[in-house]
Amino acid sequence: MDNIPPFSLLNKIILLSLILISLSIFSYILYDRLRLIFLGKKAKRFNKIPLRIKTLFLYVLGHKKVFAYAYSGILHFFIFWGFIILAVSYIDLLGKAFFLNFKLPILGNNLIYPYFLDLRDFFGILAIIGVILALMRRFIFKPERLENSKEALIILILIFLVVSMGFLSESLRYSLEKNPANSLSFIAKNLALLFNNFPKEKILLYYELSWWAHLIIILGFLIYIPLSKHLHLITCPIAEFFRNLDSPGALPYLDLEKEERFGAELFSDFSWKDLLDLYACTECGRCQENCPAYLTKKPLSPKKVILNLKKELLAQKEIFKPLIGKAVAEDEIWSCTTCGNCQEHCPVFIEPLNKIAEFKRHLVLTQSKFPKELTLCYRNLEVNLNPWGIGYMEREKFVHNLEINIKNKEASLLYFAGCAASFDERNKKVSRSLIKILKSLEVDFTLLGTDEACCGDPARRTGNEYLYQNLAQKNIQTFKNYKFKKILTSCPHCFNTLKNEYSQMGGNFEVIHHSVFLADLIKEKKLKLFKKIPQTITYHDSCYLGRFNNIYDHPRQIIQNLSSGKLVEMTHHHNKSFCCGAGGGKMWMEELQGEKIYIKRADEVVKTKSQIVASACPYCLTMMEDGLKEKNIDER
Amino acid sequence: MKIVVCIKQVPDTEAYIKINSQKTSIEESGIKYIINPYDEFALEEALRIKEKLNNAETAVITLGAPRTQEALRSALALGIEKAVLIPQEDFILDNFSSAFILAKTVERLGYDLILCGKQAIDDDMAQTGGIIASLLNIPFVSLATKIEFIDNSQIKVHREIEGFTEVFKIKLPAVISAQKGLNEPRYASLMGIMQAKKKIISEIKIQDLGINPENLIKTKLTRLEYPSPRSQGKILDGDLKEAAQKLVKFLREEAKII
Ligand SMILES: Cc1cc2nc3c(=O)[nH]c(=O)nc-3n(C[C@H](O)[C@H](O)[C@H](O)COP(=O)(O)OP(=O)(O)OC[C@H]3O[C@@H](n4cnc5c(N)ncnc54)[C@H](O)[C@@H]3O)c2cc1C
Ligand code: SF4
Ligand code: SF4
Repeated sequence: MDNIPPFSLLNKIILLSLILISLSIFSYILYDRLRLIFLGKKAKRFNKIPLRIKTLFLYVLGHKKVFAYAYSGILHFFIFWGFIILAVSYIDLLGKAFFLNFKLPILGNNLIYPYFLDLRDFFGILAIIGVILALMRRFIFKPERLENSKEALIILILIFLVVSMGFLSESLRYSLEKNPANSLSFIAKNLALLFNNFPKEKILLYYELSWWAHLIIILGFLIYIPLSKHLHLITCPIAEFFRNLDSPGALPYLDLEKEERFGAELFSDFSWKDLLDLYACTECGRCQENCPAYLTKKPLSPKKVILNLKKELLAQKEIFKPLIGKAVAEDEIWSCTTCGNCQEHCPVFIEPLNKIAEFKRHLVLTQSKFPKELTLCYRNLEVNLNPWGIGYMEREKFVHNLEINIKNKEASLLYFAGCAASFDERNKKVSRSLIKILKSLEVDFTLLGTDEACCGDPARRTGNEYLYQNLAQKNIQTFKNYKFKKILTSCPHCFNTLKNEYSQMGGNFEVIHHSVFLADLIKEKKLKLFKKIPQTITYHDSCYLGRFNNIYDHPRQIIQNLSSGKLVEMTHHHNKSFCCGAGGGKMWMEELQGEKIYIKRADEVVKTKSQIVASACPYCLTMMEDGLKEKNIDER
Repeated sequence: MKIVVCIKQVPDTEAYIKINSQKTSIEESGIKYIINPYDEFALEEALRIKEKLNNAETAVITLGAPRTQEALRSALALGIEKAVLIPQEDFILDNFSSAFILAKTVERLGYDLILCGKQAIDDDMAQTGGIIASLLNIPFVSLATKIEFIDNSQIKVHREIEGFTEVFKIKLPAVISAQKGLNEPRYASLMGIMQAKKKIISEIKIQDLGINPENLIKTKLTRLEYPSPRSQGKILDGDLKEAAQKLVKFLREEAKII
């Protein structure tokens, strides 16, 4: 180094002190926030390590879910990778300040280093492009899901300053040294041309100024990370690593015998992962943008739930106070339809739904405080084992004159009809048709008749875990007396509960939904349709079939076999499908606030101009028909 | 303040009722039992009074088969402190004898306020509360829709009658029977259910009350019968004129009303 004097001892001391001070502040703030996580309950998140590592690569480094929104995905990808590479280069920068001959391990190798610098410049530029895209998004496109927080602006400016100051000081250095061996950075080389006519001393002065300025911005940034939503830089990879790998359709099991507190009232009732999630939220608003409750102007936004909880956690610290009524309101909690959109679309696998579910559990099990319509629903389930409250002896009446061998313990297929198909007039037509198909194919099947109880979904989704477990236990006991190999369901709620939740209570059964069952029969050419109908059809994805169980194609295959008309999609379909409004026990509650969810969905149906709307869920069927009737359009 | 609630376990309103072979009672198998819905209002009112006054004690009693323990257990889960079962054993009781037994039990427990439902939805007698009050020689107000405490010895009771609300001022002890509208019954919390599991249901035997029910019975149920089935409705088809003609013909020839 001919022109740049090496760091004096004094400089080194100042530099070291600055680094140590900012690192201490950073660590303290980080510790002060993250320690609160350890006040949460245990959670089983150390299993399936290979899958978790895969998550790191695919979703953290690879941004798979972030890319679901292309624009945001790209800009974030640029900034993210720019950051990682720049972070490495800062180690290089500081190392060189302290030790003249400092070299990064591997990257510092003379052969590799020049390429590393090129890469750094390249990603530096990407980061700047990312920042510009982000600023444009926030200040020109302004999607509703993002709020223009000061934090976001500060961060974007800081990123811009860090990168550009780095470029500036690097190019000043280059123009002093003109030593290609030391810097092959193409940005530096080109920017250095600007300073060709400057006197050496000036350049040196500017260089030193820019070097220190650069450093101070970096250190300032470091402190700002844990103070702002950019804590997610640190928490997201951890939260994603420990994400829920169980079925998304299963609510966590609650051991009623062992636990002394039911559901969540205080922060200490949540698991450490739930608390970590609060810090991992990037405030991207994707959950809110897809939440049917929010979109119909109800008092719920999953994003707000998470953010308010985070704010409250930071305010309460370790002195826990009740959250309901403070950080989250009761009407927010009861607005949730458990549609699963929030968790489906969260780029970092946060589950607002499950947190809301824990609040419901607390309200029902501990406080016995819930919308009064549910009392009747619970009583009906307790006494007559169905939410309608029709006498349980009537359950098998819908199969009258179909001549089926009910309660045949030897049959190989059990058709678990579920409450809607057994008690609701419109849905009885569906179950009777399904039974006719089974009969015509001579399938060896049976029904439980009066031994069948509600699967428990309406109780579980509204927080009544006790009632749910009683119902589930009853069914599991009954199932065990039978020899069937498979259970067929027509209701996606039964399907989800039997398939994903009964195993928590020792009920492991193979369960198939009728849409998959029928699609397979068609594919195997066992089920042939003689005549195709000509109408265009649109298909309404049920939350519990689609998002929670990933069944999107089978129902569509059936439709395409059924109709020679077109299959048209609504505005929201597949994993973005809009809830019918009946899930989460909402079927049994009044929808008093905001717009009606089912009307909003019916509007989407109307917009497709299709003649038929198809559904694979009894609740959806009811809601869609009600919605369309209210719009004076005939059901099909 | 001692509050005693009399509850009865009744067949669920949706249950299929079958008369037994002796035609004196109903077939119990397959029937799901619930707490008589009007008694739930009585239970809820007891709980609300307990929550309002800080010196109130609540107890629930039932006269019935061993299965009626479930009903008592549910009442405990709601927050009632004490439960007493009077096993009915093999006695065939009527309203008077049942009420007599209940009155004796209440006497033994001590009482300031006795709450019951306006009627049991199984045999709809609507007598028990009144008989208990007469036997104890205390006031009785039926079909209460609101109970207000004036002080520890006086209450105001509202009851709705066609077009009016009656308000009675009565001295305690008294018997009040609950009507729909008195309150909105709560749903037991799991906490309550868990605590109720640990509580003891005490038993008082009819004999221990010094009663021989045989001597008390005043009415005897001799036979239960199904109501005659309703005949199917008739739909008259055809256009307006035709249908009208058919209607006239039907009214004249078959129904013989015109
Ligand atoms: C299906 C059936 C089977 C019967 N079997 C028998 C039998 O085997 N043996 C027999 O002796 N009698 C039997 N009875 C008669 C019955 O026990 C009495 O008639 C009854 O106790 C009083 O009549 P009620 O239920 O109409 O009372 P109501 O006067 O209509 O009841 C009003 C209120 O009194 C209270 N109350 C009534 N009964 C009780 C009770 N048992 N314990 C606590 N509180 C009560 C409740 O608060 C109730 O809301 C039977 C009745 C029915 C419908
Ligand atoms: S589950 Fe659905 S309704 Fe509930 S918060 Fe999430 S997106 Fe909203
Ligand atoms: S919870 Fe997830 S989707 Fe919702 S704002 Fe936070 S990071 Fe975004």
